[in-house]
Amino acid sequence: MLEIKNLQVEVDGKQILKGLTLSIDKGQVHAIMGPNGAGKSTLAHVLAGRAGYTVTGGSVLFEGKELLELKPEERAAAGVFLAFQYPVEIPGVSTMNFLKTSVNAVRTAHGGKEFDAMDFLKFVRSKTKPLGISDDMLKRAVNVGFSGGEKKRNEVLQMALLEPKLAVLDETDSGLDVDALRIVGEGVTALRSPENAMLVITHYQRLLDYIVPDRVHVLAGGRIVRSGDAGLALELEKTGYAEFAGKAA
Amino acid sequence: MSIGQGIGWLDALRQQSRTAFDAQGLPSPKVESWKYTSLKPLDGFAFARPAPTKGKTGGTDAALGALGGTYLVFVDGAFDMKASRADGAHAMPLSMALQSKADAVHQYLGHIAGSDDPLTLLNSGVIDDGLVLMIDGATIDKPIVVEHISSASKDGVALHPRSLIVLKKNARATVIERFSGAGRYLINPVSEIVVEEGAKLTHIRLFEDDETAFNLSHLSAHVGKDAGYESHVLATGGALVRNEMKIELASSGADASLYGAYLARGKQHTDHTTVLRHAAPHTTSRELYKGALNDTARGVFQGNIYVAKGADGTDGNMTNRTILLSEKAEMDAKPQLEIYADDVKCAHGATIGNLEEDALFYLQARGIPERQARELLVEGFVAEAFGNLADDAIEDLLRARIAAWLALAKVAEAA
Repeated sequence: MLEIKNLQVEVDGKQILKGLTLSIDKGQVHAIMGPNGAGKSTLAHVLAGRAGYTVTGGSVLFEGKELLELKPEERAAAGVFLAFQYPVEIPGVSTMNFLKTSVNAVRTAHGGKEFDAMDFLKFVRSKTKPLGISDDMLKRAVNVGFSGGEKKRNEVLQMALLEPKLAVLDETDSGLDVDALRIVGEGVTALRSPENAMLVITHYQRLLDYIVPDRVHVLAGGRIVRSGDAGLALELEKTGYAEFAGKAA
Repeated sequence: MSIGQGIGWLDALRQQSRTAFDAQGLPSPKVESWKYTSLKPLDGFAFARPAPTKGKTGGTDAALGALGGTYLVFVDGAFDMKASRADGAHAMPLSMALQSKADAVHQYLGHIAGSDDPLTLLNSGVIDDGLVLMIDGATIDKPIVVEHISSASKDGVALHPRSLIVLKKNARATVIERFSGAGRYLINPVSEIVVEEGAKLTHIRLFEDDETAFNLSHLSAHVGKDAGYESHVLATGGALVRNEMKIELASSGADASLYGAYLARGKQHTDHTTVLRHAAPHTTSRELYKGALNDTARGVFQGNIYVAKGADGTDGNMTNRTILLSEKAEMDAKPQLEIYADDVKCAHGATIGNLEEDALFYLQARGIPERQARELLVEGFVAEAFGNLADDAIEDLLRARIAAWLALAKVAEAA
């Protein structure tokens, strides 16, 4: 589904990713772990198409097509979803209006019909309950005044509504207490299917208790330096990233 | 033909005002409050009186009219009875009030607005028809909707509608006013407002004049003990719009809330100049003006919070935020505090910036195409100024107007 080959990326003239290669198949969950500054968030942003990153080499194929040539909205329409580490606050735009505009944009990009207000409300309500998202939250402006947990639950809600083929979760566990982590972890796990894939980017192992990965990769110094099964995450939890510090240079 | 001709005090007011205006003329850029808005485009303007209107009124706004109970339409400064709908004794045209409530009109007209402002003098020299709303203690549930339409009866027409709103003790009302028209005209409306003890006026004004027209609006309000004046302005029209407001918080517990949104494109100039005068202890004011400027449009915000000696316990807060959608758009923001009292809580802030790239990316990453994402962000940014409107139907109407402006403004092609 996703085929990253020798990806090299610069930010402000500084090389962050130095030849990253990674392949994810349909139905799989991969985790990327690594020390701060390893390039984890850069990878997430480059996959979603954020401006400010210069790709100097390599390729990213998504279902056989070059992803890097698409605009962010085209990537979303193609089925790529980024759960943001820091969801953005948008004053004056209600969460409900935002969700409806987003879902309808993706539906029409596929030649489908827009939801009308009533059908959309039903669709949203079917997804909000397990995430503990109230109608009041939907009325409020996007992420404005939301707690850390509410923001992350809102990200999972968007993921549930857009039903992406590939979800990239960028430090989704950051800023969450134990209860919020459980809700988010279970929410994401419920969306797992043989038809989609996930790339879970995290510094800590704790989110992976809920979203058990098929493969775990260590990203350090802009490259994947080690790969293994779910056991690798547990091992890293004990040993930390010190072993890879030298390679980060 | 002017309204109320032959009424002694009114004839005298017109005569004195003309003489005073002729002596000083239009404000020059040397006057501090006119530094950023030049009236030079009015050089050579005819200041003609409108030709008599014929036939049916065009250009009324059906959706707006449907919101209201009373609906008053003024065309070229004259009351259009056929297009109007009155269902109460409270609201009527000034021309009628000068007959049925002459003493009450005399008591207020000219006394709230003062006589030091040249454009007010220019208006007082003519005094075209406008709204008179007088309420004794009652609550009027449905909004009172007023339209001022310029019909392009000839080029260079100048209109001077005069409005008077007096809410007596504990009265409550909502007034919606819309300015619109066709052609290159000047409209110079003056509104005088009194909100007495415990009363509350919610006042919505839509500036939707022709993009070659001038609207130099002047509003003075006097707010009494525990009374409230709540203003919502949406300015999208006009070659030049000056929305000037002077609010006097005259007695303890008086509150003013001024919310405004402005959108300008092409060569439009939009100016919002307000003075909030805290004249008594424990008075409060909130002001939030937000806008977006495209192309080579210019915006001006001059907000002054004046706290008089002895107005202790004043709480005032003023914010102005503008997004520039083009590199050639310009904004002048001048928030000011003048404080002569003790124990005062006052704050002001102004920002001028671009659309936030982070927010744009967030929306795009959710599949929303760039142009639509920009429009959604601008709408959200500007509509935040409507956030305190209690009436959802009115808020929807204002939001729809922002959306219509965005469709015309081609925001995605800028910046």
